Amino acid sequence: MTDIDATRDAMPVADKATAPARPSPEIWWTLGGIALFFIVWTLGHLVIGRYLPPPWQVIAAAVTHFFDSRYFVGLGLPPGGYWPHLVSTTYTALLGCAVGAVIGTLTGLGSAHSNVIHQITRPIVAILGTVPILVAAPFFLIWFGVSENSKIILVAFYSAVVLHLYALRAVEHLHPSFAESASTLGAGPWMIFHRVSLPGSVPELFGGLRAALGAAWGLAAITELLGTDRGIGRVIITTWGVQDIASMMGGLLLLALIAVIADALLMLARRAATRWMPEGAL
Amino acid sequence: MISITNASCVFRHASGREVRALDRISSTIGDGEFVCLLGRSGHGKSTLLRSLAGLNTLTAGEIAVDGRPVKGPGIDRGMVFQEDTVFPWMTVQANVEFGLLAQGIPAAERQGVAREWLDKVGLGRFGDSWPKELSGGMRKRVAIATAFAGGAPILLMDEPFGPLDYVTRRDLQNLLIDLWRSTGRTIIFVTHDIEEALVLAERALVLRAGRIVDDIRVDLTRPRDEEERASPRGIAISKTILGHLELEQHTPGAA
Ligand SMILES: Nc1ncnc2c1ncn2[C@@H]1O[C@H](COP(=O)(O)OP(=O)(O)OP(=O)(O)O)[C@@H](O)[C@H]1O
Ligand SMILES: [Mg+2]
Repeated sequence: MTDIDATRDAMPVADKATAPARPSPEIWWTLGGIALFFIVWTLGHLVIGRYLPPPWQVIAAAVTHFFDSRYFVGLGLPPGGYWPHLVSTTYTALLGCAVGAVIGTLTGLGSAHSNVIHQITRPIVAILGTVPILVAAPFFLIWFGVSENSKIILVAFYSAVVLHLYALRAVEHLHPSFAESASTLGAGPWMIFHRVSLPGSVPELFGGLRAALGAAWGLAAITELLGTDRGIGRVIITTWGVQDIASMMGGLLLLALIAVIADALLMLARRAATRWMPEGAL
Repeated sequence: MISITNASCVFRHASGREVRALDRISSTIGDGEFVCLLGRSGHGKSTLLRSLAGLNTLTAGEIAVDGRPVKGPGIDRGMVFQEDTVFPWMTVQANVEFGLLAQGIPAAERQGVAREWLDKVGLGRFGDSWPKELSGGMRKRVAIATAFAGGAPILLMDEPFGPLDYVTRRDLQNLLIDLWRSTGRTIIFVTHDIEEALVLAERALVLRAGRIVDDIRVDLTRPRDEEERASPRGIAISKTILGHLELEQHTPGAA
């Protein structure tokens, strides 16, 4: 009966939805930033000399040794160039981050919901959260062996702490009347958890996921520097042994490339998962 | 029927000061009544309403619905909050279905009931919209539809139209009256606005310092337009309520 009034109310929204998407100049700024990075790198090479190889040498190393390299085999690396190492490090970072994120999100949301869980996890997170993760890395190798597992556990450990804190904060930021409203509609604790707290936390959880994933690459590579049979860190430490800085940096460049792609995919996922959010709310 | 017996609620603030938000309140509210709770800011309106909803625990006394003591929130009592409680991460349709989902009603029936209520509040074509795409007044309609669709025979509303502009408020008041008349539900509506109470209520309970100081039958004929509210009876009721609200010697909490 009052549909006409509602339509009038909706008019500005309709206008906004049909507004044509303007081509954004942002992409040019991004490309400019990338160009600037390579210029500074080249200048650095001119100043420092052969210990900082120029971009083209590093890119050449990354490309020539990408899929297959007798040179790498000669250094004692397994056959197959950078590729298997890149896969291994990526696997470690993604799996570790995913496992940690699930654990951290559950404990974080759990302690936001239940005072008992909160009291139990608080001292644990306070202690674990302050341990310098890089100093802890050698212990993980001692406890869990020089293997894929210890790398994954280290990354998962760090991600869990990060996501726990982000999830806890996300629920704190959620207005309590959402949960109250749900409870007056007959929702029990479980329904409030998975229909209110969890979706309401998604924007902040993506923030935490981004921070955790960003750190995961570095953490994975650093454990590999300490000793492992596979991974970009292994390539870097091995080529360091023969002072081949171009190949070391080639590994770093490839890892950075993967990290940037993963971050871009994560942001796409966030866009898809938070279409409900008012623009500019995060 | 709702019976409130000697309901008291004392809050202890961090400073150690005790605030008696409800002070031995007793009253009964019959089925199908439209009651407005009036009172100045800080005099216990929200506390009483939240106690009815089961969101606040009394420190003494009891509230019972059809003889059963209120121990927590329940599907026999719905609530519309002053804040915007429409879940922004669900479509309008999913919001209205929420209470039915909580009650385990099958999807097809849920959808039908929710559509019906969206139609009744004038948002029939907005089921697939995100709440962010609606105006504040439209989101209030969603909240009302959600509360009604849940099926609770008692609906509690805490200054739901507080932040809205005058015209939108009037639209929503008329909508609420229509829904109340066509469904026969009990509505308890908190407001500090005398005019709003005159437009809506059958009965006005005036709270002051945590006590019910007056229980007024608002026996005006409907529709409660300007003329009706300006009738001798309308003016008399306004004056009585205003008398209770006006400056006083002591204020319990914040002013
Ligand atoms: N959770 C709480 N903790 C401590 N004190 C509270 C709490 N809720 C309410 N009070 C106190 O109880 C008294 C009554 O508050 P209440 O919110 O019921 O007032 P109100 O009539 O709804 O006011 P308003 O019109 O401003 O919403 C106030 O003095 C307030 O300080
Ligand atoms: Mg209030």
